[in-house]
Amino acid sequence: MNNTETVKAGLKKRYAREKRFQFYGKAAVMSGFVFLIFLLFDITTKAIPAFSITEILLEVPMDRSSLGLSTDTSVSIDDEAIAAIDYAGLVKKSLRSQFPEATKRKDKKLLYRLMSGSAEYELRQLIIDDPGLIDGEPLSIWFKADDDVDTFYKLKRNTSRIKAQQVEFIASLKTESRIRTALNWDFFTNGDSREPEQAGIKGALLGSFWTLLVTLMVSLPVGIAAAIYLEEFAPQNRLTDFIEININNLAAVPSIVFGLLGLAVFINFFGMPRSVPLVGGLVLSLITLPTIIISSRAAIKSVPPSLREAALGLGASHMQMVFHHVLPQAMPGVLTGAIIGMAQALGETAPLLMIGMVAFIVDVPDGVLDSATVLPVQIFLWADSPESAFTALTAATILVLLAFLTVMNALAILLRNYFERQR
Amino acid sequence: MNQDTPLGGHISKRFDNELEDMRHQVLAMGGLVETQVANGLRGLFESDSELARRVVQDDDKVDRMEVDIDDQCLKILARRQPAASDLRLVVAIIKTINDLERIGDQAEKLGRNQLELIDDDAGSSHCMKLEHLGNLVSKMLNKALDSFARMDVDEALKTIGLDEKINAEFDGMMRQLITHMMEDPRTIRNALRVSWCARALERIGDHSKNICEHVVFLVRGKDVRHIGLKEQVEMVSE
Amino acid sequence: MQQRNKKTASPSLSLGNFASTIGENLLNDAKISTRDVNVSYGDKQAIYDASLDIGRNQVIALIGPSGCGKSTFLRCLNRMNDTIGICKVSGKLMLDGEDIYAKKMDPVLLRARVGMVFQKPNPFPKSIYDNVAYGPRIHGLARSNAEVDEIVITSLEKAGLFEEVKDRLNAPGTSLSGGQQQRLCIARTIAVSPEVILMDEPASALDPIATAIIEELIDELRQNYTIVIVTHSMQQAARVSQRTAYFHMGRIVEVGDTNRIFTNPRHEMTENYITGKFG
Repeated sequence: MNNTETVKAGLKKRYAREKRFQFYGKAAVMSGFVFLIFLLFDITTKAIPAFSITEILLEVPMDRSSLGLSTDTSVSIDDEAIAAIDYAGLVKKSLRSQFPEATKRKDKKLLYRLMSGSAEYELRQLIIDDPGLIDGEPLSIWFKADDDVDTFYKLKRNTSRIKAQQVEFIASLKTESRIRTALNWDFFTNGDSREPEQAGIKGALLGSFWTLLVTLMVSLPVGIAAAIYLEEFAPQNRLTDFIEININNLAAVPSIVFGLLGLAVFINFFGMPRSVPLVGGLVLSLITLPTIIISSRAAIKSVPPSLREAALGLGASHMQMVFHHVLPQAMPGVLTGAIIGMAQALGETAPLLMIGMVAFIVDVPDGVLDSATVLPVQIFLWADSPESAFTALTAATILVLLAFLTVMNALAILLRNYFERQR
Repeated sequence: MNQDTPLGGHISKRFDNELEDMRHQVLAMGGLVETQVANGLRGLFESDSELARRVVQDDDKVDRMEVDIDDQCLKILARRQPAASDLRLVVAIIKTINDLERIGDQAEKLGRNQLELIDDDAGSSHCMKLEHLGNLVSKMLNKALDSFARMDVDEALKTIGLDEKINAEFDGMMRQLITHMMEDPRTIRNALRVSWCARALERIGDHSKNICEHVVFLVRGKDVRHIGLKEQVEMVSE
Repeated sequence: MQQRNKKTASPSLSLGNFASTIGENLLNDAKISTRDVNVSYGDKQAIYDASLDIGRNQVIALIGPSGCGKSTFLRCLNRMNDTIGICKVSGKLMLDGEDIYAKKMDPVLLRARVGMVFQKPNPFPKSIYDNVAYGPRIHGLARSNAEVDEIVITSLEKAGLFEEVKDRLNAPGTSLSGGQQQRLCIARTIAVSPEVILMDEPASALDPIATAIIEELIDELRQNYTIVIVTHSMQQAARVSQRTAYFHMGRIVEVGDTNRIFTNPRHEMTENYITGKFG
């Protein structure tokens, strides 16, 4: 057999091997893709109910007697009087007038439970904002329904929590078009709440934002500075070797250890407040620092030596060489590292539990020193809550977290492209 | 410098072969020229006009060889860009074949003059006078080619010294011829022919000297032309 | 700088043992002179007892096989080796009588005086203008933008590049062809007005035409600068240099007039190298 034939004989086998390998590759990619699609599909379908809310239209009388105020029109109504109004009673009164047939105590109780507890606060806010409404025509207002009603109405799924009498009420509301499903803006504008229909993620979203801001402000400059020093200036000796090994090891330390460290150092030693984004950000900085340092060093190392030589050959000092040439060139790599670190920090839960960011906080944080929680912790909290409506909220929060991540990555890619164009 | 294998040892074997081939051709050309001179002289001494005619004819071969070797040198210069000893070799060869070609021309002259002389019986006696000079020149040419073949500087320098002897012999012969011509004007015709032959032989000596100088340049990289022999020896031994 | 030039190579320098170098390695009025220079990287010695004078306003070519130490030697002349921690240099290296490796010699200042052009064209990833303006800017050589403009234009002109790029000074330097990039690098070096220009195989990555342009440029630059060029192309060394030094295994084997080195080298190793024989 000559060479050509020998080669030809083996050829088929070689091609088959290649095809097989390609198949494995494709299968791996496909399975990953399928899992991802499945995950997204699952979360999205679960999250959809959280973005809508059931509302009930109520006629609220605005005459002074209904409001429990003095009927003497000459008496002006001051803030105190407005605050003293029994708004809960007002809501109940409106409900009763809607359903006059409910006279029994038990039925009334069931009737009142149709509405969310937030109705009275909404009504109060409305009147405080515009006292001129008093003495006016009765108002027609869409109030939020209770979360059980919401679940029942949106998902057409009866749980034992909705009684037969209530089902009738809802049916009657429906025939009068006094019940509807609306967009749940409160999910984005409210803080946390025990009541699912009132719970929102603004607090967690801003908490994450402030925390990440602190993390970025601390870990990026410190990380880059450390990377530049270690890569460019540090002498090669045992000490720097030791530091290098430790940085690499730090990247592998479980994050909860950093949480304990943060608790011990920042809160117990420095006496910083608990549950605040400042401490959370500092702890997350500790976690992201090794990632940023390692990737920045790699980026700095990969800057071609010819560029360094060019700068040095012209008489640039070491510092000028680094800041004029090496760093701009390494910037895309540094940013990639920073983003990976930030994404890691965004998803981090355990260390934040240690420093108290797991507390139930209703208020939306206004700065790094306000108590706050973060998105992953919020997910953890809601996933733990018994009310069935929280399942949807949990999924919706996961979607928001993913969106947050996507935005961050997009920003990083834009920045990286910008720096790459500079080359 | 490695004097035993002056041409070999290149990383490119083909370059080795090209240089070796060129050198062989030069030696072949030298051999041919040497034969031409010897035949020219024999034609004169033995009044062999047949031999003389062949010498005249064969000069073409010498010319062709010169053109061939020139062409090869050009190719090596263009393709190999030789440096140092290789460069000197090529340059020395270009010059040497020029001298060889001239020697060939002088040999042809010997032949032509012999053909002119043949009518006259008295000519042969004059020819005999050329014998000493002829032998001297043959020896010098032979030694020059030898030193070239062996790239032997000492031999080349010794050979350069022979040129003065030849010049002295030539001068002596010219005086003798002039005396003859004055004594017997009838011999002028032949004496002139013989003097031309002597002149040609003297020129061959000069060219041989040039070849030796090329050998010194080739081996030592020193230009020893147009200076006295003493300085030449001094310069080379530096 | 003129005052410095008046000083000649200090005669008090110990000439040391350079028996291994043959030819004319020492000069009377050298721009740079080196004596008994030994360079080692850790345990590995790269240069042994190199003693070589580099003449004013002339081109000296350093030739030799790969790894013979010629680039290392070149990099000692402006202390580019400083960046390599394990590189140790001993011996005397003098630039106009000043010790290059003295403590008080600032490497930044030294490199402003002894510029360098590298094997691979390495323009900064900036505009053509900024490439040339960078040196003058960091050294504060220009007081105004107009002066920077002037330096940029004259440097580009000296490098023979101005006509080709005058319409696109803001285009990135990396958009030029290889030969143009290398001339840009030369312009960048000239812009700092160095006294000596070191070139490390400046044309090895270029085509013959670009190479010829660079070589022509080197010949013109000789009027105002002292040039040391490392090259692998012997023809190039023969074309552009006035003197040639042959390096072999870390030693300077032979130094001499380029004409002589290429027609009649004295050392057998030089002969073998330039004729392409087995060493």
